[in-house]
Amino acid sequence: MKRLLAVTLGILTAIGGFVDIGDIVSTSEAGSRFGLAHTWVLVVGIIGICVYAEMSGRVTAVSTRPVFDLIRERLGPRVALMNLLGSYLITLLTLAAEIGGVALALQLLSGAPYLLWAPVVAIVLWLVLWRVKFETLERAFGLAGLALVVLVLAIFRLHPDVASLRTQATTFRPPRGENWPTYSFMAIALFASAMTPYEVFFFSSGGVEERWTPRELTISRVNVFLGFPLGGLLAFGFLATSAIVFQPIGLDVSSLGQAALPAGMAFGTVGLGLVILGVFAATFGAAMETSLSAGYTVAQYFGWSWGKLLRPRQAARFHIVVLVSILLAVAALLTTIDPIQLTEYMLIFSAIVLPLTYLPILVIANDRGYLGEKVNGPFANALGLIYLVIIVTAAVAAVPIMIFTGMGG
Amino acid sequence: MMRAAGWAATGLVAVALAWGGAGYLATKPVDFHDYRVAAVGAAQSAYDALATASLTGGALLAGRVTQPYADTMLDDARSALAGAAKQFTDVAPPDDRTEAMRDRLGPLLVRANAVLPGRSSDLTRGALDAIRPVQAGLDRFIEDDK
Repeated sequence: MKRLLAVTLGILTAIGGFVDIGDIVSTSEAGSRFGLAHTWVLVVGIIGICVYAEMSGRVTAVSTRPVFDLIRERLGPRVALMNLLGSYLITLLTLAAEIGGVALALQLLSGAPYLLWAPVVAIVLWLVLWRVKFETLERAFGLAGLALVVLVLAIFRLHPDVASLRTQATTFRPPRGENWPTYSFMAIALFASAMTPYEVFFFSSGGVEERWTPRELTISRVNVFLGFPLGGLLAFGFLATSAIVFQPIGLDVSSLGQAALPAGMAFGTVGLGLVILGVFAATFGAAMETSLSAGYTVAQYFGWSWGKLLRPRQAARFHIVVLVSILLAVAALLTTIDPIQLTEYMLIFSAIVLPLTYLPILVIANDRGYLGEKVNGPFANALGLIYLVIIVTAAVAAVPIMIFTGMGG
Repeated sequence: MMRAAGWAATGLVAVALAWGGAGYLATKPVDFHDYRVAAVGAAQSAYDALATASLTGGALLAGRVTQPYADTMLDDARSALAGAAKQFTDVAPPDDRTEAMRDRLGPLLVRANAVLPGRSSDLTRGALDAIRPVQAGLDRFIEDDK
């Protein structure tokens, strides 16, 4: 049982990474507009995040230090500062969107407006991060997020036209009525959502919180190769159910409630309840990840004490960064900015800063000073370089396509 | 020093170009293409609102979703419809062709507003039947003008 629970860090990170509020809505929108035509992007994203999360986990397990700490040491404060600014801003935007996502899930349950829930969610989030142990958090939210598997089961329950779905999944172009720029825009958003920068920093810092040593290298790899594909499968649940229910009637998904509806149609109120529970856990888990990631990266850059293993008094500056980040995020939400729109922008800007996150990881993973014999082999380097090319291409194309399509409209 | 000045100059040129581009896009007069895009976008949003209400209503009547959920979905649908109407009325038709487009879409949006239920308790079979023809009209508009 203990061994089984050892993979909850990977599950929590992957669920937060693949099915946070931005992913839920963008994946469902992709399914409703393009059917399964973006399935390949999910697969490419899953492999990409596995490649780089494995490197981060290995770096952490062998050096017993988090990746961001090493980036600053190895590449110097200037490069690390660019990395910090890019990833912190995206993480902050993501945090705001996640708090909005939790509030939207509560709105679906209660009917009360999400803006009333947002401050409550922020306070509970801060209290949980302040009081509850790291392991308890990852187990509770990682496992509750698995309730989203109901959408994968709903695929079968909705009795889809399997031949049509197979054709969609193996057709690498936009369907009739859609065009290449919007198809590419959606592909970049989905790829960026799979590779969100905070995932690797959270995963690596989480490894330190769990006191990984070189002996935990296998646990780290099991976390990566089980957790992230599982997160991708849950994301596929949203893509496929939207393709089955909404695409045939030409309804473009744009809200969390719409994304959850297929579970209700397949399994009634129990299915709907489970998917809302899963969304709540996934978005709250992602809110925890992003709050902690904000604290981790800033504290690691400045060399402060950090982490939940220490008492809050011993890591006061780390906890202040977490608190301030939560306050900034909830303040942004209370301006009545639409959390769904915020996530759409966040995904595109995330694509732009991806190279700042992943290039340094590739450099560190090749440094014998930190990893000794555990540096990247030729296969890991080949995959790492291929993905770096994809990441840079996505980063360069993101803004022009965003402007050209008017945010994929 | 020279390198820093070069970067600063490049940054300034980039900002000036972005500013100028944004200014041009914000002030250029609406043409047929712009109006068509706005009208089809508004029709699609209105269609999505009605289709959402229709699916939610069907699921609610079959006992497959809860009342608070249905109320939230209807709130979202009403907001989306209001946004669609605003998006449509904010742009004036620049020529005869777009005036004809306005004359076809305007009444559909008014009817959509009339048939979209306000609360889950209004979601009856009759209410769902009333949605269908308006939804079909919006679908035709989108297909014809996309």
